[in-house]
Amino acid sequence: VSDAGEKYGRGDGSVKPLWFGPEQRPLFGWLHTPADRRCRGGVLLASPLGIEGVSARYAYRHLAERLTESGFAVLRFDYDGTGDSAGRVDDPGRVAAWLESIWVAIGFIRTLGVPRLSVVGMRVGATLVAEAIGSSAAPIDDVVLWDPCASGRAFLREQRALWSIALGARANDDGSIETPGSIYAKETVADLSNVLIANAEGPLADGILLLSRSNRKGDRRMNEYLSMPHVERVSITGQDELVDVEPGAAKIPYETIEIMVGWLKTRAVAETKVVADIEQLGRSRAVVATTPDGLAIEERAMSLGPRGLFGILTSCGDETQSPTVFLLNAGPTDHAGPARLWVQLSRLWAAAGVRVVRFDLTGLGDSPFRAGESGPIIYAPDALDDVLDVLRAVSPEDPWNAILVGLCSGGYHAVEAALVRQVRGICAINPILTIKLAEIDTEGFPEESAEPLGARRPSFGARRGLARHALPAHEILSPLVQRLPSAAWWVINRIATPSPPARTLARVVDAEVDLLVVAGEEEAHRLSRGESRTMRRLRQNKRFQMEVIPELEHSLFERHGREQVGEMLTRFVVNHCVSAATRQSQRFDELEVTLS
Amino acid sequence: MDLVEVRHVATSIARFGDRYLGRVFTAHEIASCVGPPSAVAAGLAARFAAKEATIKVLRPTAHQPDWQSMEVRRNPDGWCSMVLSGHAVTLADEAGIDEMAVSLTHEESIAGAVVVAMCQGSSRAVQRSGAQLGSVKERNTLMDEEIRQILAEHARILEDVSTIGDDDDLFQLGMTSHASVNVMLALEDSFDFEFPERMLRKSTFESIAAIRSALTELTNA
Repeated sequence: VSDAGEKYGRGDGSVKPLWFGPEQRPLFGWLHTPADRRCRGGVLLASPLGIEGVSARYAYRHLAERLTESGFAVLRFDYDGTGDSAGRVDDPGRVAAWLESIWVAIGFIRTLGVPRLSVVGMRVGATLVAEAIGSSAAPIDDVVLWDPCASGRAFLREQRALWSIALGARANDDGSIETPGSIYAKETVADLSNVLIANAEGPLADGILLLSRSNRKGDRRMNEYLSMPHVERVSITGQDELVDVEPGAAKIPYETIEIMVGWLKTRAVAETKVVADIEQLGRSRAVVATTPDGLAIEERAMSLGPRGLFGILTSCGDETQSPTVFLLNAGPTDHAGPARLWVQLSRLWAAAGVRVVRFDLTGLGDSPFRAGESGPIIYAPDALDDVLDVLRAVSPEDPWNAILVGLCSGGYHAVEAALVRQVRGICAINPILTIKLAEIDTEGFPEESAEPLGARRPSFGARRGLARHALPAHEILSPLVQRLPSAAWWVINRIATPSPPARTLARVVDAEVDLLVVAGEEEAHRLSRGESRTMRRLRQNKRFQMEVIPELEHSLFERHGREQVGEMLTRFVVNHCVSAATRQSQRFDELEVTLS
Repeated sequence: MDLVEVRHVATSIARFGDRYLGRVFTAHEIASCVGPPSAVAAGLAARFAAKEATIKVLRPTAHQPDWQSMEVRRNPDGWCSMVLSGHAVTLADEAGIDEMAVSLTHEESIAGAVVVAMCQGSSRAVQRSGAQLGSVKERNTLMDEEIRQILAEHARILEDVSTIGDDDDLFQLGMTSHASVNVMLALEDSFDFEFPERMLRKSTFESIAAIRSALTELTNA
């Protein structure tokens, strides 16, 4: 393990994860600069909020890398209370804090000494950018409004409609609004509703590039405001495939990104300038919260294992001998976890003395991509090697003294790891286990070897590929399939399924690994169908615990289910990692409230 | 139909002067608005509203026509017409529009315009915003055409929208929740209203009949 605050290169540039801004309320970001530090300008990337931010994260990463290749210094960052920054989304004064975050980020990128400064904002990120810089006298050279929401109200309304149509969710009585993966308090709703692009009192910047969807008319007042002569309008495609899909299906809009890069290049200065060394900027560790007793909860950015995977270690106080908790990616979601649950749990558990690592597998989040890849790869054949490498890197002396926590594909990888190494425990939430696990056929744990496990099982990827194609078909047949009696599934499990999910779980428990499975009703049915005897045997084993939550939204974008899962995970982790004495002295519900 | 706050135009004139005027308005439009600054701003705001209303009628799917390609021409007798040029002409041809009539109005703070498009081979006047149509049957027919066009553009259904039955389940045909929100936004743009909170549910958008029912309720309200 090494400190990720140390520079590590990617492609043609240098990139550094860091915290910046106020010591007591640090913001997290990624600073990219060309390798030779010669810059023609600086660009701040302000991301969308909520599920749109999740969908856009790989497009933003690609944009940052393309701009760096074109000679720009780039900062992408998390607003206060989002991503890896300090704070929570339900803290008071959200809108003011987000606007302040933009200014803090602008101030930080200026410290590089860039000759020109541009800001890019997408969706409500563009709205916030316009609000922040439109009400200030400080000059910004160029602004890119990428498919902007005309107002915060428009953003909330779209997200609210999406959630209502998708889940049938109704309005909350307290005036708050729940959207996929987020909840906005009454105060935030009111404040956000007053944020309009047309509110800006000045021309925003010397140059404005408005990238609007070709299939949307746009808001009249925004169009009117942006009819100024220095606004260049370009009609774009690709937004439907980027933010109007499930995050796992989001496609990077390469054409739009090249339009932006090209425009910013034409606006940039001809003469480059050597900017400050990023090694001298920002902090690679930060205090992100304090416990009720005043102890600092510290986070540290790390580069893990031979592939330099990105991770964040959260801890509080002295190192302990208790297991380290590892939080895995859920589908394409980065290390912040589903609706930022991993960040909140990391800080909560660290307050109780637990070491927690949230990290990204190869090709996911902020970890390096494999050669030739620029988007997320889920269920990668070599993900198991990544998991084991990370465990070894964090605790070289005792790597398997670990608890793995994963949702969906993360649950799969946790199970996979537990089948080859006797970790202390795993928490699998809605794991998809209808995929063939090659390790099931192994007798005992494979010996340690320099050779990656992935390389020793050439058929593994092919089997998974088949499963990947089979699963969607399975979904289409779902209404029919769900009606099959248990006896039919018993036959299917023996003829067509190499390893029924329930028997995979049994093998984990038989390997003396404590196992918590949390699942929605449908997911639980898929895990257990046709295997009632195996399930009965499992339930009699004290190492096994299965919790079924009715109407649990699979990806945990729905708050109530997410909170229930968070409580179950916390109980499991506390029971395994925190001494009885400490447990009695801590009240976790109070602790969580004070962690903001 | 479109409304514009006069102060926005006045602010743009004050801030950007000729750069703004030259980008948005033609020489004829500028010359047509005379008098004190407040009267000039109100006249130009009404013309801007007419351009916005024209865009609503033309419905560009890619590049929006230049503001100057939609000129409000003032007749010596006082009435106005909309004269198109450049890309706007192409869009009008594609929509089968022969002629466009325009009516302007303004008060101290707000200006508005109504644009009526006259379609080919028909005496029918299609007034796409705030429609006041002759018979219920004709209104429903036009509403269905509108709904189907919007579904074709936004619902991301692989099936030919013209073959979808009134009661066919659009979600079963492949419309996702995300796509249904885009359908909702396009309907709001086209019919110039907002779906209330109580209508933000799957059942509102599950079929052409359901959408028509919601629209009828809202337009009659």
